[in-house]
Amino acid sequence: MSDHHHEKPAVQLHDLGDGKAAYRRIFLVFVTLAVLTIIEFLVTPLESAVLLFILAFLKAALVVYFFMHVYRLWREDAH
Amino acid sequence: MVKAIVNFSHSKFARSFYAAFAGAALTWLLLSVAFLALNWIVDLADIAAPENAVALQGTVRLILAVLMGILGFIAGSGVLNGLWIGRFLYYAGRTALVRGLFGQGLVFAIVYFLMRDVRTIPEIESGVTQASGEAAIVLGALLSTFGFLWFSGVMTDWTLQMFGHHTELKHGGPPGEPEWLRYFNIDVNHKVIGIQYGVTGILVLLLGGALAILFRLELAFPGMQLFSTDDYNTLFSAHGMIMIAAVFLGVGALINYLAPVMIGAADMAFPRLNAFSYWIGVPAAVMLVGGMILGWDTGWVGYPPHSSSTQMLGVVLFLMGFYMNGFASIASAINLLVTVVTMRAKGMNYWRMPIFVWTAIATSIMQFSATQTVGVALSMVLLQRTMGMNFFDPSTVPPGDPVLYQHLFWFYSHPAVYVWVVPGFGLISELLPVFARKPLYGYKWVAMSSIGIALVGFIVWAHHMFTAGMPDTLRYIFMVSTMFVGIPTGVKFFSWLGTIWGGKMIYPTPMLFILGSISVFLLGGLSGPILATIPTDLHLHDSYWVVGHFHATIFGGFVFPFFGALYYWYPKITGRMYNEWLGKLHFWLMLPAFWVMSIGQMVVGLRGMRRRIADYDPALNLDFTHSLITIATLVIGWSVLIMIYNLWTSARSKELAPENPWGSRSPEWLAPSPLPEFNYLSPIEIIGEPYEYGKDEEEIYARPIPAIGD
Amino acid sequence: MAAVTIGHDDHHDDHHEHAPEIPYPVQLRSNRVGLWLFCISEIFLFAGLLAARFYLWRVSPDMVASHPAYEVEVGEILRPELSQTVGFITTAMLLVSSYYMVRAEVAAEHGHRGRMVRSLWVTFVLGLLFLLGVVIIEWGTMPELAQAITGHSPIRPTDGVFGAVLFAMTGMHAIHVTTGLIFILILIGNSRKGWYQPGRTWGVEACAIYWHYVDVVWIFFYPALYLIGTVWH
Repeated sequence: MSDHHHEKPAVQLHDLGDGKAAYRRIFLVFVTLAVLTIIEFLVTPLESAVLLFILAFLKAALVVYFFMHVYRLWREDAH
Repeated sequence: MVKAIVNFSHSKFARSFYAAFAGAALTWLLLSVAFLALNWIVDLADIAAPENAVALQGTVRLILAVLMGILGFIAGSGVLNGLWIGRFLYYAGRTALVRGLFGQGLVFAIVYFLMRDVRTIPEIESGVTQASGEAAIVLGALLSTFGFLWFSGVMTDWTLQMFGHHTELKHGGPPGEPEWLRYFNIDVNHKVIGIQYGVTGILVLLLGGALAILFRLELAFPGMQLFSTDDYNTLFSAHGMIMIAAVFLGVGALINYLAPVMIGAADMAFPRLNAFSYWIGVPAAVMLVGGMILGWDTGWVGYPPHSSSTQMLGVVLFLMGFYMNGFASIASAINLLVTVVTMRAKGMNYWRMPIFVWTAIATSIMQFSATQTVGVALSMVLLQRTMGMNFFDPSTVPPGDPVLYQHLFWFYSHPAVYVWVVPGFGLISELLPVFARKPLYGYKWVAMSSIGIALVGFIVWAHHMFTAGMPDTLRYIFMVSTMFVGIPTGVKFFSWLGTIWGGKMIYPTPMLFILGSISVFLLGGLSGPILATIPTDLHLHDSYWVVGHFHATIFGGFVFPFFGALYYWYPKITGRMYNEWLGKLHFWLMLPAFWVMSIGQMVVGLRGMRRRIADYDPALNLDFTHSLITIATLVIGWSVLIMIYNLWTSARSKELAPENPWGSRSPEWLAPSPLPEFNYLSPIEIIGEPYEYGKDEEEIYARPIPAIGD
Repeated sequence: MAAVTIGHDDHHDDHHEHAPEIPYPVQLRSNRVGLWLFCISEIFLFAGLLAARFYLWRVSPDMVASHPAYEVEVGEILRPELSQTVGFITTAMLLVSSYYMVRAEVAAEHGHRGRMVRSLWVTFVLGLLFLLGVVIIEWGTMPELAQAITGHSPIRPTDGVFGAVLFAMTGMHAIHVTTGLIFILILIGNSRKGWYQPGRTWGVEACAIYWHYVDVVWIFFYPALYLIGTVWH
């Protein structure tokens, strides 16, 4: 459970580089989420619960995949 | 700072202090119970008690408790270890149980006295719940759980980690103390926790059974003989909830002890969380007992509007206790699922797992998800009572609706009954091939039928509510979906019959219990569709038929297999053999008595006896059947006491049990009995199929991984 | 009756025998699966609350009869009158905090410690602002301030099913936000002691997944509370 700082990294590190691509990707996802939220706010007068739920599921899927990286669950080498 | 507190809690002074607390609290408790019984008998016998009797009892109780507290403080240092009472208090001061109960009491008292006069919502000026400090009880109960957890030490490692300390898992018993003390302390070993669950479960079962016998005595004859109606209500409500707790504890015992060994792991994936799951049940149980003392009359379902308006305050402690038990369910279910996913031994793929592990998975799927919705329902009642938040009162605009509670409640509580019976099914499938010396018939179908029961369990909840005022369309849907439960259950029955068919059967006690459970569950199963069918249910709902059906399913699906499992794995757990004759006596007393009880309940139900009612009309002519049921209940109670005597005395016998007394192929029998700290002396691998009984003996299922060069 | 023996040759003095070591990747996988199962479990909690919202915030037959001025039908979804501004701003704050959380996680994985701690602080402050927005303004703990910002008197928990469900939903969510904030503080504290080096970042990852999960819940709560249904005054 705990992270032992004094030991060397326990998992094989991938060549992560400086992470510029990762930072850029999460920023793009964030912008998409912001746009979707504004769309939600703007389509409210249409009074369509279905549309709002579709938008909510879309946003949730983006967060679950890109921010919570659910795909790591199926990755055996665990990093 | 945190470390200092932890160290202080293990200091000599703290231990003496806890011993003092144990002495005082236990004396207080025992005397309270004794005086309660005494007053009850005096009341029944119509003896004129002296006027100041109650005050006198209070004084005696106080003085004795203080004296025992002082004795405990002295004994805590160990100087009185020559006396049994001194030894008792000395060790009591060293248990997590006593530390935790002290913490729980302390936090509850502080919160209650600080909050008693605080009004939660200013605009509620009157009302029973505000006036009686009910909000303070709820908040006190909630926070007292943390009091228990912190003082007992369940949270110590996590708290230290929060403050940046590294903690290591501590294995083995408390240093310098006798081995048995680890069963009263926080221990992370899954077998210790399994036994903690099991022993607690049996004790709780006895308590629930005792309550049942008390109100069965009342029901044996028409008219009120022993109790007031309020007491009767409290007794049957508490019987329901306490038995449910007992069954959950039993399920926890089976899964915790067996599942990790069966998949070839050394322990669960999260050992600390495992300890947490067990120990949080203790403060919850304290709340349930507290609810009993205050009195609660809602039954175990706690339906509003009655639960949201009853003046018996025990109901809030019942709701809180139920709620807290949910944490245990969720945490242990997640733990089990993770363990099965990540900790299986080499070669143990999903289709080679012992069948019990499949049922553990199915049970955990229901437990870790559905438990949340009952939490929502229970907290809504608590919020309505204490904060004036309206969910269930239809007088507002828009209106509240009590049926909402029933939906949320049964969405959990229906899967919950499958949580109890599915592990029992797993035990039947696990043990039948061993005693029939034949392969399990249709392994994959049996494995999938457990998952099937779990999934169907999620879509049948509203069949409990046919008379609650639901739209007709919903009733039809739930009637049909309920009938689907028969399919996976039928698969299991066919598999059991197919396994028995042509087998070379032997009949030691575990096998008797397994066969008995099949017969009893058949009774429960066949009485079910009659309740699931709307037209018949409209007549039978809320009658004793439901009581008979329910007890048959739970005895057949859980209690009988559980007792069978206790006898079966007894040599594994203790390394000794139980007394076969007493075991068979237990079975042959319990099975016929149970049949009489359950069928009797169905009969009185058909003849107009309503459930949850303290009395009945003599004109119904139910006296004879009711007396018969009461006698049967007493027989069941005595037979369970025989089992406990058997298990207790056999554990002390000098003779060791054979290594694999049943000739089982299951991997746990490869390891020595009792199991070593980390189960297998060397890692095992799976190289065959699990249930190839009666075939070529060379086809082994599991073996220790051969060392390189062998 | 010792049901667990210590080693098979009875070394009773050696109580602290070593457990078979669980490799870090296996433990990491267990942790991930466990946390995700917890998230799935909590879905049922929040879905229960959402079910209550759509079950209770509806037009009943009585309401149609007694409020002829409203053009509503029986069964139509309702919502209480809440400030759109407050709802939108708090939602935005939680979304931005989620972005900073994932930024902190990426930074931790790449060993950018300064950026990680800064991002965690931003997340913390935004989360706290969200919490205060809900507790002070939406709940009306400071009624005058809430009145000034939203333009109408705040809804009370005792205001029928609207107040009850609103407080139950936001309250349950607020509890999760609060634990998330504590979690972030623990991360900041422990990172000063050198925890969470690259390759050992499970602590940050766990907190991030939890924090995003709280955000996902709000993604559904925001439309359910503020956007869906006809406003009932």
